[in-house]
Amino acid sequence: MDPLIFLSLVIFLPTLGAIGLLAFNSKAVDAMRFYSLIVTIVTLLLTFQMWTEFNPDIAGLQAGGKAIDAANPVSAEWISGWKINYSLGYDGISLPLVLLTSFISVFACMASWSIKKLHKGYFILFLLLESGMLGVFLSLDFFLFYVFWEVMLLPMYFLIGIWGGPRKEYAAIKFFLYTLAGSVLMLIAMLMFYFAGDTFSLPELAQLGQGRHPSGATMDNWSQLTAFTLLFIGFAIKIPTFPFHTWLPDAHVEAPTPISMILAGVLLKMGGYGILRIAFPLCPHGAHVAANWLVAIGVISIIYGAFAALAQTDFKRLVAYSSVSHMGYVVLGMGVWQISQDGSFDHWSMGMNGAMFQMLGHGVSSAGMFFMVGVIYDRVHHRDLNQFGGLAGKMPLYAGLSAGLFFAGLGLPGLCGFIGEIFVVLSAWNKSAVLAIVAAGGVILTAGYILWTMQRVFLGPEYKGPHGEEITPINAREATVGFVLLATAILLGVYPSIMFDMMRGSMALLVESLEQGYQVAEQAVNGTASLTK
Amino acid sequence: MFSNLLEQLIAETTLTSLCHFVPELALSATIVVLLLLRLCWSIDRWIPAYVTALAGALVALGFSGFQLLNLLDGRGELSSARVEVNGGETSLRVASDVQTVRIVSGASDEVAINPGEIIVTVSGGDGAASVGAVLTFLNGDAAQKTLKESGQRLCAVMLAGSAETKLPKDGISATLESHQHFGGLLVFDQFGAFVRGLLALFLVLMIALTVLTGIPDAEDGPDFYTLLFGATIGMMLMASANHLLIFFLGIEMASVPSYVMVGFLKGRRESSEAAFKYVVYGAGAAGVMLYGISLLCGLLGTASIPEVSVQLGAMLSGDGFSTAEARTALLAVLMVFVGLAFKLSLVPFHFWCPDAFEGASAEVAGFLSVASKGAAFALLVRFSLALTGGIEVASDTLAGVGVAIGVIAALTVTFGNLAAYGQSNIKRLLAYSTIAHAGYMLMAVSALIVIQAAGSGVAGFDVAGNSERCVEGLLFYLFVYLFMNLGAFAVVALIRNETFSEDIDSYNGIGWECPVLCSCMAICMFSLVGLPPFGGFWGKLVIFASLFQAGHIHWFLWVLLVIAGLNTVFSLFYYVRVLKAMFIRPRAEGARRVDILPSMGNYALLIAIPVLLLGLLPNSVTELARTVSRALFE
Amino acid sequence: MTEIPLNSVLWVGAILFVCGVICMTTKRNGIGVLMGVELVLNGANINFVAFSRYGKLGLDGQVIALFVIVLAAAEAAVAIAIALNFYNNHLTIDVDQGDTLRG
Repeated sequence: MDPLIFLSLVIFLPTLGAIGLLAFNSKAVDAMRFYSLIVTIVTLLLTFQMWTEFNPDIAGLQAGGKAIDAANPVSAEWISGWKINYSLGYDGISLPLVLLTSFISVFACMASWSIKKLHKGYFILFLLLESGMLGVFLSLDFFLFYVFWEVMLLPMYFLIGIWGGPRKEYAAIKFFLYTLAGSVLMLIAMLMFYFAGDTFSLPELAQLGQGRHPSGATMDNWSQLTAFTLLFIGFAIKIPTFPFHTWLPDAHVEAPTPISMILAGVLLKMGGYGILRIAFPLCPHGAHVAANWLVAIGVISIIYGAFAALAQTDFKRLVAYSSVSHMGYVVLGMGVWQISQDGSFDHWSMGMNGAMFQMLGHGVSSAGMFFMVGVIYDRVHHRDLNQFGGLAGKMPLYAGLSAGLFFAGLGLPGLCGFIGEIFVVLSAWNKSAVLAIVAAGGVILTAGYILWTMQRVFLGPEYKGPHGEEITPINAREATVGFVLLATAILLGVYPSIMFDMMRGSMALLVESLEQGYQVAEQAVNGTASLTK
Repeated sequence: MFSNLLEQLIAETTLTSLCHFVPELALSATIVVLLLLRLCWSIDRWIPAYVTALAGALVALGFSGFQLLNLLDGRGELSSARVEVNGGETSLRVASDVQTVRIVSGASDEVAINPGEIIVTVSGGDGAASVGAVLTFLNGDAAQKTLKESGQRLCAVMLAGSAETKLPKDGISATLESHQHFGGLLVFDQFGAFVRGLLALFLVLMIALTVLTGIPDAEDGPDFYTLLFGATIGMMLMASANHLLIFFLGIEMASVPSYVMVGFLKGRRESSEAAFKYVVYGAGAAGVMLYGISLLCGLLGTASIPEVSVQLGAMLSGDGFSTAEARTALLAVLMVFVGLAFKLSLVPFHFWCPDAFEGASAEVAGFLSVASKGAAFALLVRFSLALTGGIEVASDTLAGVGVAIGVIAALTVTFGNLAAYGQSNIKRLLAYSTIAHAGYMLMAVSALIVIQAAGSGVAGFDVAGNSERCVEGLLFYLFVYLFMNLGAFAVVALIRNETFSEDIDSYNGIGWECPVLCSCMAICMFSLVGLPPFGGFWGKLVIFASLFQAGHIHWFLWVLLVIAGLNTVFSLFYYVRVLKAMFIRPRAEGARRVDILPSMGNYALLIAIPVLLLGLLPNSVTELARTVSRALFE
Repeated sequence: MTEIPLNSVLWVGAILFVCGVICMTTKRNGIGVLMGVELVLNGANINFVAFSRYGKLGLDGQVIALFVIVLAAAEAAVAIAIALNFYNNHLTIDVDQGDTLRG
């Protein structure tokens, strides 16, 4: 099949499913649930097909097993007067995230059984959200990326605002406002790039920023720095890093369980993906200048998130802050731009690969953690950590699965969280030993709050909180979700090559092109011939 | 002698001028028919007024659409030469039934254009050699050509059929003559035709809405539609104005029926108060504007807008005018802007807007917020181009005028958005939103003025392209604004018929009782914020892009860009508040169940789906806006 | 008879304009405000005729003045009708009494 059509199908199958849902009777709740589940599973199968077609030897962008270049442009004209095209494609950076998206969506859909009202609207919005997420990861045109990025906000607002917890209205509007503010900054940067390069195509803009655009045009250093700052703030709000993270605890806590899973599992990764796909390649000089700031922000996020999590008494809020902390590793890994002693990019590559893997691992483990919190919340309708206890006795399977998933969040070796953290911390050592030690200290704090939480919730002789009689053992649906997520976490932990093989080539290409782009920019400032337009 | 005069008058008007203004004529005829039907045998008891009104509006829409298409294709008397510079190559596209291409070198002011002919002016370089080069190229074409040479001019090169001929890039430009009618009072060009088509389309949708909501009732029907049509004719005149008299008359003709329409619900106290405030403000602003026009006309010695442009250019470069006169002229221009600012409800002349909207019925408020803004912006664009068109070198005074307008735009947007926060009445909220959107559109005009005034002073700046982008953004924004604002007001009107309330709190929980209507409201609200994938986003993007480019000339426009972005974020809060009430809040206890007929839902979908389509596929409309805006600059 | 200079006529027009503006802004009676509007419009008319007679405006000015007279009449008729409607509802013609709608 024509790769453009295939990729469009992957993106828009959930939308078609949502349109199909309109025909359902509002009272046919189970029919709608299974229908949505089938739609998400079919999307997952389609993304597996993408995986089989993926050619790891092609480091750059590809689709359908062939590289994307002038001979094989996977795009269609959209707004020709502005040179906006409908371009799709993926590489080793976006494919794992696409797989993560469809994977988590299946399990979020399975978790959606706990939604109690207005099911039709819920599943329509849920499927539209999945389309938006897939579109963000697959689009290669800046405008298309922006449209999908913003399109996600609309269903999210309603999903949090209608089916959320007690403070849902506040959380939903806060989420919307923060993200929109970041998006407007991104819009200004997008305009800067369009007028510098007369194109919206991300590969071409990357050429522009790295000084190897065929027409000889470049972005001068000042513009690059401005654009990078604007873009970074926009993406940092999404990741979220300190100090733009304040929307996250509210949104995560008030959102219903499946939406929290998607929020933590996928949406946060979009910030990181945006930096890798857009902010870094398009502004290499700006990125280099800001690299130290990135490292600092990453470390602060790690420590701040961990300390904040330690102080929480709300179970879900604790997991939310742990997300802030874990995503700090991502930012740290991306910022360790430093050539190693032997002149190679090995440590930096390790950091980038680690950051990428951390995104995947955190996606799985945090989705799992939120799901487990949701399981117990569905039963006892509270999340107060001080009123839990003794759940291991009443719900043994649940306790076991939760233990596994929480250990994955902790970064226990053998599970997915460890790989990302260790690579990031090791690469940080090359950049600055002090910061690496501080980051490693974050691991200890993480262990602290997670183990303490597990002790408070699962261990202990008896359950002293409200609704004790509602605690029933985990049912088959919930157990399935838990098992599969835990199995994935273990798989990623013991066999990380399954992901690393995918991303290695593209990461290496990214790292090399960034360094070359920076060299070109430096030469333009200090060197002989000026290449700027 | 009289018979000669009469014959000349009839020949000129009926053959050319009237043909171009058929939509206005159709609307006038409909007014006459409406009144006749009422007077003669009370036929309006059997044929409701809206039938006549709808028929007349559809006829006007058909004609204006037909004329716009004609203009775009280049059929009819208007020439269609468009010279595109494409990476160093010039190409000349000739429409299918254009018979003659006249190539003229040297000065071309006195060249008269004949029907079915286009003129290609060759300037720069070696005139004769360039023309020769052109002819060499054309000679190579398979079509048959005849050459006649007389002195410096080469004429009558005939090309049969449609031909796209590549010409060498040697300073070739094409002139696009627009027709002035009625002694230079009105102008008929693509820009005017586009705005006119927009107004006609809006009129049709508006009448459909009044049929659905049942305002006006049967005996007031002819009156209401007469006023509506009269206002629309005035607005169409505003869009085609070429003379300061029509400038004033058009504004007045659009405003006076609006005064009455605001107060149309005679029994309501708020309506009468709103109409009274509106008429007092409006008449005052019009008077001030007229005084300004009188001073401007008198000082410059002409009332025709193109000549005003020339004289202003002379005045700014200092020849023939004293500084006292220049200062008075500036004062006069300011007073004219006061009148336009009132019509556009810009700060600080916006006070009538919330009251008028709250007092009027939702349909009339919708009409005021879209149609009068659209026509006023068209007029403002023409006036701004007249201001800046006559200068040859970059003028800092005029750039300062542009920046001042930008300051007003920033104030308007910020004030509109902030004041909307505290509103509990949906119509007042939409009134403040209208004020804010007028501010966004004004930013495009401010960028236009700055680019036109001082663009030539910046090296490597594409003045024409960026000016076109400003107007393109404004026109696209107007187009999508028509739908999204009308959609919002239509939903308000339809819900008001069921709940008898316009408080936002009365909307609690309605979303799940009439999902179609409220989804359309959601689409319109999100589009008003400027979120993809809706049309409002593309409109804002083009305006932001034009602000960004104009910022290269004057840094203030970058500040304006940031203000616009911030305000987009601010505005989210109050638009979403409406949706929050509809979807998130639970329905009040014992509230009346809202039943919306399928026809109403279909109408709302008819308005909301274009908003979505314009966001997903803006290409055709944005290209149309671009083509139309080119007509202003040639 | 000596010619009246252009400036004098313009001054008359300006005085009418200023009187009209003062009337519009300070009168409490609604009809008074409308009278102010008429003064402003006629001040502009005098300007038009003056420039037509003394300046380069030619016939345009006088034609414009005629149009403005007609328009002022129409506008006055409409405005008084609206004022009458206001009176029917509020039983007063005092503009300050209209405060149901928050300004």
